[in-house]
Amino acid sequence: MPCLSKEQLVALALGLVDESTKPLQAHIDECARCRTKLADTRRLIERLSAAHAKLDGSHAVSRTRLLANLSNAKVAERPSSVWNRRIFKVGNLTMRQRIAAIGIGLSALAAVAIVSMAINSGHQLSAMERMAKELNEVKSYSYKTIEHVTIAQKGKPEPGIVDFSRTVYWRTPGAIREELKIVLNGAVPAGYHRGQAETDIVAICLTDKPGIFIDLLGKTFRRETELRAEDTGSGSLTYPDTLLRAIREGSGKVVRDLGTKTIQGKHAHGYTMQYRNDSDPMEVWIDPQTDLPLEVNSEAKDETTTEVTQLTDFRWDIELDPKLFDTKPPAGYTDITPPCDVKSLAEISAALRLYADLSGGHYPKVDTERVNATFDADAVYAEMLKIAGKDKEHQEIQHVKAGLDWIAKITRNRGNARFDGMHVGPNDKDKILFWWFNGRPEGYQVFYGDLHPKILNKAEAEADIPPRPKIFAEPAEDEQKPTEKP
Amino acid sequence: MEQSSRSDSELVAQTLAGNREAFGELYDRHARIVRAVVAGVSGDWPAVEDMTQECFLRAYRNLAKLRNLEGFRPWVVGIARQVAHERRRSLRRDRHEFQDPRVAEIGSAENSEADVDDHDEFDVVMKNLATLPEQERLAIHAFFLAEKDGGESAELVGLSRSGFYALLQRAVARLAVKLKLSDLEEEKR
Repeated sequence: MPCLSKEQLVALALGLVDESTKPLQAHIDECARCRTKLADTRRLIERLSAAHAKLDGSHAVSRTRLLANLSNAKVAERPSSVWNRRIFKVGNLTMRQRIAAIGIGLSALAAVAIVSMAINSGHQLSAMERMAKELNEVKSYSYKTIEHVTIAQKGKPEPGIVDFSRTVYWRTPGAIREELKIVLNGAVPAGYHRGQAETDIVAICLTDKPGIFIDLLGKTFRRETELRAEDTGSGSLTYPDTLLRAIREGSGKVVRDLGTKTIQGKHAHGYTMQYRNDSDPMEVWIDPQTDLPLEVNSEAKDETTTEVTQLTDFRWDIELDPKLFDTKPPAGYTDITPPCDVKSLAEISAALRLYADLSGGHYPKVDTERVNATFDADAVYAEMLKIAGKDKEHQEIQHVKAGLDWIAKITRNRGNARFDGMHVGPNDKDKILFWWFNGRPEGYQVFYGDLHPKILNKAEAEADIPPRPKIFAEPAEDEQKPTEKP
Repeated sequence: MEQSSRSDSELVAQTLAGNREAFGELYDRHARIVRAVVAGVSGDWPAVEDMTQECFLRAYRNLAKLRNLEGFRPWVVGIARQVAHERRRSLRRDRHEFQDPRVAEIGSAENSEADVDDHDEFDVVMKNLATLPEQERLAIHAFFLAEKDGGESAELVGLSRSGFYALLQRAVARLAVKLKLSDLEEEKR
């Protein structure tokens, strides 16, 4: 046998021995030159071990140093970019949450009122005071919001663009309709196309009977329980959202008087105001005839995102067509209201358990959060029949079809549900395999990897349920793609 | 290092809630792998501990940005790569060519014997190790810092276990040659 290569010597020195290295060892016993080289290599390994151990030995000291330095460091707050506030929130929003979000403009308006009350400028104070009074007395309204959001993207010269158009109708006491459409533009990632509607929904929420959430893209609807005061941003059914709360709690200042201009044929007086000290200024244009707003414009920026927002087409104290609040679903739409009864949950669990048994320890390899991914109950069912062959009673598989159908139905409500058999398996007792918003105060129904169910409240869900991945990848400093491969 | 049964996501959540000791546990769990990455990618062994501190401080400051709380490990490894690359760039800027000056000193006939004697054997090994290709450096550091756990090291380097061992053998063999050359240079002097 020829003398050993350097690599073979290293293998022996590292103790990487198996059947194939036995002849090498035999050669070493016979060859003095190789024995010397092996001894040298072993010394090198020892030196490497010692050098690394030295570093490891200083761990405790380094740990103490790190913890001491933490007192000078501050955990940054969760980014509050427009993107986070809007599209993902909107994507994840339940109808109630959407309703709470509706009043962004109005709360800002209310804040204008407070602001003006807080300053000692006769003219502005008077106009703002009057607006606050009028805002508190309106019995119905509608307005439109147009938002244009530009997001700088990691590694791409062209930004991603998200256009929101939202129309809101509100009628006292607590009947709300929101129509929301979100369109993607700019440099859209793979799987999307420019001009694609990412969201197109109608949400109707009432105090005296269940509401409805209609997904015009998915042609589905789900029932929602009655609107409660605590579901609105303000805690008030008469004045939902943050309007009254903002009036009570708001602070800020009028930055400047913008003079007058004509909006939709009406004479308007404008003010630039700052909602909070750290907020971006916004323009508020008021109709002196009614003391109510005609238009609000704002522009917000952070490191990666620019948001231009306009609230317009305000109509106050109007007769709203009762059909706007009709909760009858459109013809041909599928009811995807999720289950909450024990039987249905057991069906879901049984279906997944049987699948895992048949497949040898995994769930259907689907992550419904991925672009264009769906849970196809029929395909999974067919796969189970195929895997089972003669070993399993087909009847048993037929029994669990209902559970598969539930999963398919629930996950059609994208943003409010996720099944992730791609990354979670039967041994992952701490990882969430399947969750959905159950439309009830308690919040979220969850199945972990080992199929034990749990209901999470909003706070628990926020902690445990991974947020939806962003469509546009913002270049966030220090935040790396989660991969360990170089 | 005794480690609790709490998951990474729990420790991240507790850190965000203001529990710094929870972050200390995250440090206990992942400092080794971070050291391996910063050492392997930057090649700057003497700065490993400082870079590791920097990685964890950045992770702490940006913890709220972590979307998948269970993904702390790959996230902090990503930060480690960034810190190490910054270090390399900084060294390049300073020296135009990335080469640890202390390695050059060893190989330079102009250096006195006394200078060479000042370096202990660990330093000699590490300085020569710094001249290996990045992937080979990473393999060696990962293997020895991960307590010779081939599986963990292979995962970090992104190779199969057998592929990793082949890389490791190649790396150590190359290092052995370099050290031998270094010895010869020393003998010449």
